[in-house]
Amino acid sequence: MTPKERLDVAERLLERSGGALVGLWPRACAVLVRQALEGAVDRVLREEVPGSQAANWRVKFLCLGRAIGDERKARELAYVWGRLSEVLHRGGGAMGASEVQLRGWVERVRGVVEPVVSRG
Amino acid sequence: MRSPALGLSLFLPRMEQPGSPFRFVVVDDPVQAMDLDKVDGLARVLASVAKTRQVVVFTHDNRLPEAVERLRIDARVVEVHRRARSEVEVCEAGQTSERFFADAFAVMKSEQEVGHTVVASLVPSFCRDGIEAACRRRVQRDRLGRGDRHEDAAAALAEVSKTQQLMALALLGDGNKGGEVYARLRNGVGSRAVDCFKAVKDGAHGGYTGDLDELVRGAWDIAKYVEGP
Repeated sequence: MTPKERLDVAERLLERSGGALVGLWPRACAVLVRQALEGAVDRVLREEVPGSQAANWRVKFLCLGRAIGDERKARELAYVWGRLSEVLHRGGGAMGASEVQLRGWVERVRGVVEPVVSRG
Repeated sequence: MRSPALGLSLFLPRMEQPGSPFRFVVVDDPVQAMDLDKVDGLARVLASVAKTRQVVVFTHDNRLPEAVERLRIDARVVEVHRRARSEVEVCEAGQTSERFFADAFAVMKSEQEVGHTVVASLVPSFCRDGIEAACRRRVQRDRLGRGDRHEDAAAALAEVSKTQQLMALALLGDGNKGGEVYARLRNGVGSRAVDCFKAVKDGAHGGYTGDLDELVRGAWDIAKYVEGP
C-alpha cells in the first residue's frame, strides 16, 4: 500500500461506524497513519539523503528537515510520529487516541504525503 | 491526602452501612494523582465493596484496569470510544496479551470489509501489542516478586522504548541485552520464533506478506513463553 492509500483507509475508518472493527478502529487508524508517515519520509530520504534508510527515526526526521528545506515541518512531523508511537506501544498509563486527535494526525501527515505523491 | 481519596474514604464506608439505601456506586476517575501503590490499594478496596454493591468506575488512566488484571480481581473492563457527533461504542478491553491476540484475530475477520492488504498492514501491530503486554507483565511480576517497588518496575519499563529492548528486559532482566534475545527465543520457543518475532517487529511498520494466521499463533506462543505459567 502507498502512504496515500493508507491515509485514505485511515480516514474511512474514522468515518465509518459499526462493522468488524468496532472498538479497534482507533488503533487501526493510528497504525495506518504512522505507516503512511514512515513510508512518505522513507521515500523522500531515499531520493534526497541516500544511505539514511538504516538510521533510526530520530535521525531520519533530522535528515528530513534538510531534505525538504523546512526544519519546522520536520519537527512537527517528528512530534506526530512520537505521539503515534506512544499510542501504539501501549502500556504505562497511556490511553488510545481520540477520534479528534486521529483526525488531526491524518491531516498533518497528509500534508507531507501529498507533495511526495505529486512528485510521481 | 488527595481529595478523591478523601472523598472515597468518607463515602464508601457510609455507603456500606447496613441501613444505607445505596446499592451501587459510580466513581469518576479516582486514580488521578495516585501513585501506583495507592492504585493497587484502591483496586482492592473497590473489589471488596463490589462483593455487596455494584461498582462502576470511569477512568482515562490505564493503571487501574492494569492493577485489576494484575491482582486478578474479577471485574469487567470495557473501553468506551466516542466518534464524531458523540456516537459511542463500547467494547471489551484489557491489557492482557490474550486480549491483544483476540484483537488480532478480530482484525483478520474484517478482511471482507476492509480488504486483505489493510488487514496485513494491521495484524503485525496487534501481535506486537500482545508480545509487549506479555513482556510488561513478566517484568512487573519478576520485579514485584523480588520486592521491588511499583515505581522501580515502572521506571525500568519506561526506560525501554523498543520491542527488542522490552523483550530483553523481560527475558534477561536488562534492556541493553537486546543482542541476546534471539538466542533466548530460539532456545525457549524454537527457531521459527525468531523469524516470527522479526516479522512482527518489521510488520508493525509496513505490514506482512506471509500467512497471517501463522504469524498470530507464532506471536502468541512467544507471548506465552515470555509470560510463563
